[in-house]
Order: sequence, then C-alpha cells, then structure tokens
Amino acid sequence: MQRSFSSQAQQGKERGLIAEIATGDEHAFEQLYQIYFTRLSQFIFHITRRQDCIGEIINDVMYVVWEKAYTYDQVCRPSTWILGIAYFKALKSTAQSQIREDRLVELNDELDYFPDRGAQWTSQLETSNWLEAAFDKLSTEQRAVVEMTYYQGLHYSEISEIMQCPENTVKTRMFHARKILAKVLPELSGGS
Amino acid sequence: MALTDIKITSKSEHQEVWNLLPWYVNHSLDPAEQDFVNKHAKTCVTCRIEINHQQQLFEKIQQPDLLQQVSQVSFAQLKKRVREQSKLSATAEQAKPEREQKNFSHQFPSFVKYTALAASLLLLAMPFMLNLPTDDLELKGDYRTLANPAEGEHKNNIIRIVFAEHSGTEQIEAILNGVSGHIIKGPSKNGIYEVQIGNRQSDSLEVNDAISQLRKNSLVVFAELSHESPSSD
Repeated sequence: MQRSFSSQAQQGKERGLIAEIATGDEHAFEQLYQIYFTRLSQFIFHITRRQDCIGEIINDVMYVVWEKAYTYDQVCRPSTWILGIAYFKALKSTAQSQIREDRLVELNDELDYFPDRGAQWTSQLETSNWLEAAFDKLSTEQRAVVEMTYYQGLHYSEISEIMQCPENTVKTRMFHARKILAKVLPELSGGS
Repeated sequence: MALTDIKITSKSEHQEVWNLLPWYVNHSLDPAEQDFVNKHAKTCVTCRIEINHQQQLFEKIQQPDLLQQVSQVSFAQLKKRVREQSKLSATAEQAKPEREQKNFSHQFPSFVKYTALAASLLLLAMPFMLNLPTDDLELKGDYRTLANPAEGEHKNNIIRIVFAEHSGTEQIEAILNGVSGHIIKGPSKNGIYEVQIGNRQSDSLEVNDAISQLRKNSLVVFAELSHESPSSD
C-alpha cells in the first residue's frame, strides 16, 4: 500500500535531480517540479483547505528548492525536505489568510466540536461529504499529521522531522484527530 | 504487586500499539514495530477492531481524487456563503421599519435643500415673469467680461484696476503716474480702484494705450475700461 514515491529507486532519482538543480540544471528542476506538483497540491490543500492558494504555495516551495538545492544534505529523504518546506509555507499562508478560525482543539473535548448525530449541525450537512466535514473539524496541525500519514504514507518519525516537533507530539495529534475521524466512520461505511 | 505491574505493562503496551495503528495501516512501520503490533493484536480485540477501522478510514480517505475533493470543499464554502447571505437578508428585512424611520430623518435636510433651491430659482425668474426691464445696471456691471465689452455704450476715460496684494501706495502712485492716471474712487472692499486717465478730453486711443501698459505691469492684476458711471462699485 506504500506509495511508489517512497521507494528507494524514486528517492535515488529525486536525490540526483536535486544535485543537478544545485548546479543550475533547469531541466532537472522541471522534472522535479512535475514529480511533486500533484503531491504538493494534495498536501497543501489538505493543510490549508483552500484551493485558491495551491499554485502560489507550490511555486513558493519550488522556488526555495531551486534556490537552496545546494544546502540539501542528502541525509533525509528528498520528500522530507520538500514537504518540510511546503508544510511551513502552508502554515504561513493559513495564518495570513485568517479565513480559518484557530482550531487548536487538542486540549479540548472534541465532542463539543463534533456532537452526536441528531444534533442540529449534522442535519445541516445534508449531502455534503462527511469526511470533508470531519476534516474541517481538525486543527491545521492535526490535518497535517493525517495528511502525511494517510495520503503521503510517511512514518511518524519522518512527520516529526517535517513538522519539527517531537514524535510524541505527532502521535498525540493523531490520537485526537482519530477521535474526530472515528465519528464519521459509520457514515463512510454507509451505516445508519 | 507482580499482578499490578503486569496490568500496567499491558495497559502501556496497548496504548503504545494503539498509537502506532495509523502507521501500521500505511505500512510505514519498521519490521520491529510491525511485529510488536502484530503480536499485541493477536490477543487484543480492541486493537483488532481499531485496525479494521483504520484500514477503512485509510481506504476511504485515499479514494477521492484531488479535483473531487477540491470541488467538494469549494461547494461547501459556497453553500456556507449562501446561507450566511440568507441570514443577513432575513436580519435586514427585520430591521427595515427602523431603517425607514432613519431614512425619513435623513431626507429632511434634502427636502429643505431642494425647497431653498426652488425658491432661489423663483427669485431669479421673477424679473422675467414680471416683465421687468433687463438692463439692470447692477446685474449688467457684475457679469461683464472682456469677451463681450459693450463698446460704444459709454464713452469715458475711467478704468477699473486691481493691484497685486503686496503693492504699496507709492508703487501704485508711480504706476498710475506712468499712464497719467489718478484715482477717483477706491479701493473698494474687493480692492478695485476707479482711475481716470488723463483729463476729460482724453480719447479712447489714449485710454486703451494706458490699459495695455498697465496690463504689462506685474503689479497690476486687472485693468479694464469701466462701462459704468463712476458712482457704482
């Protein structure tokens, strides 16, 4: 189930491209851009929950890759390095937009934010996607952990490296996110 | 004591495994961690159920493509906007009578303004309505311009002059002496001097020369033949 973009061969190819980019190879840069475009689109969208800023953030990220390719130490995975840049660019964009409320609910009871079915807010969902509704209830950091785990297939140690936080913080964020996502499981399964 | 330790260890192990399950289903755990989870799950029903849930969630999350997700979120945002707009409209509808009252109070000054304007127009139109003579000297003198001098109506050697603000008395006298002029009236409250050029026999050519000379002087703001009797300002 692990994605092809985490394979050793893929990592080797990306390392080579970054090394070429460091020498100013525009062709290599274009190749890396194409490889990461979809992946970054998804990553940024899941963190920011906005589609209008995706292209701009991707270009910001890849500009940093172009400018700082010579600083890549080849130790961590290329994806860890690039997604790390993308994570902080996405956070910055989210903070700047001020569209979303501060949803740091980790220390709160998620049930307050995601009440039982039958409550008024659930009826407002109508036919909209339950999963998307659940994602909206997550904090930016929780969404980032969920995104990197379920979509990107990353190990928690890699996520902690990208988010620059302890591994236990990653697990805690996932723990709270799981409690919220668990609420939509019956709906996803088509249960009543 | 030993039993308590075993329970604590077991609970701790369960919690540890529980926390690892998302990475168990995404297959990113290293072999040792994977074995650890497998071993625990064999004896823990709760974790087996949770693995099943995590697997479902993992699959469901991965199903929709990005474009589909984007469209869903976009539509949700649009729907929210529509609902907010509906709420705002409803609130505005409720507040309507109050606003109408306010509007009336705002309209009152407009009413006064338009009434005053109408009265002014009526006053201006009065001479025409009453068929009064139109050669009213006061109006005629005030609105004459250089473009339409009524030549020949009055033959005199009186000119009207306005000097620059910083002009001194001595400077004014020197300028007027240069054109053989002397003040017969003024300055008015608007700074207008009426000056006679030469004597009563001075012809229009001499007066026009004087005006041309005056206009060349930087201290003279305005110089024009007067078309009125010297008495009016």
